[in-house]
Amino acid sequence: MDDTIDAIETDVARSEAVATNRTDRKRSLDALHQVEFSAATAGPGREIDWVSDVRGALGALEDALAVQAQNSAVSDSPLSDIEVEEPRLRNRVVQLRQRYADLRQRVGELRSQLDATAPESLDLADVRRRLEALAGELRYQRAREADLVYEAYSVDLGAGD
Amino acid sequence: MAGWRERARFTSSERAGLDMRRADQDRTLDAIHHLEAALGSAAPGREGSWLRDVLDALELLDEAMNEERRNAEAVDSLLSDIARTQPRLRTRVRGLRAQYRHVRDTIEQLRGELASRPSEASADFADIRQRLAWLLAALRHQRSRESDLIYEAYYDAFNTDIEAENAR
Repeated sequence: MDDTIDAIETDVARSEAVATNRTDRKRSLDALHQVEFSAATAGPGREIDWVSDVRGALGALEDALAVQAQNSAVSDSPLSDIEVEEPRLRNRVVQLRQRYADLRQRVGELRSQLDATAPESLDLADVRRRLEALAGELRYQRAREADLVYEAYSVDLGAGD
Repeated sequence: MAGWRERARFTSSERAGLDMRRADQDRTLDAIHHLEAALGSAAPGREGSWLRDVLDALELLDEAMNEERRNAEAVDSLLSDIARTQPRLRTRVRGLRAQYRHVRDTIEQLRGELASRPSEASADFADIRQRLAWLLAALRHQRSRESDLIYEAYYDAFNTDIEAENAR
């Protein structure tokens, strides 16, 4: 009987953790879409507005990734649970966290660079290229995370995207 | 349509062209996001349903891009107007159209290839994700270039409109 109750409680806790993870992923995906939308608007001739929009969107993405990392680090998050319960997947969790942290740092560096450079002297094509690389990396990590959680729980995180 | 140097406001047909382009781009962007969601969902262990979702999303993108191309090639589209009235930008319009065609050809080719796989379970999801990520990056690059071109072509009209908005 106790085992049954424990199992139910574990399932409920896991469902809540997955729901939180999906919310975090949705927030960071929305922020990424806003970055891409801003970057795809006209740049040359309106550099000040373009940089201001991109910088704002990057700040929101940085914040979203920070919340995601914070929630992912707590003990009952899906990644923490996998780390403890599935030793064979532990390395992938560690790598995933490291790659997300690197990504967040790169987003912050690019935003700082936009803060520190006069819009008129920015190379917009170069900034767009760097944003594209960041977006590609973020999507890659999101897919890897979905694969990992599915492998451990048979739950598709991407179904919430 | 009048050339941009002759007046500094959008004509009604240019405004209609601008609205049409926005609607087309919104539809294509939705299709892109749909495809990205399908690509980013879990694949190992559920390759069959993953690939079916990707194919459905790719079909949606193909349709959206076909519609966008048809509208962009119409004689009263913004790109046609730019090509007709601004010779210095004509090469860029041609380049954009050629690259859109190339992206569409790639989508068609990928759809055919993925649909003809002998077994869905054998889908190499890492390879498919990478190839479609390249395709979507190319599409985004094109969209940025098109925005830049249209802004450059209608610079005066855009600024007059923005000033009018700010004055309200």
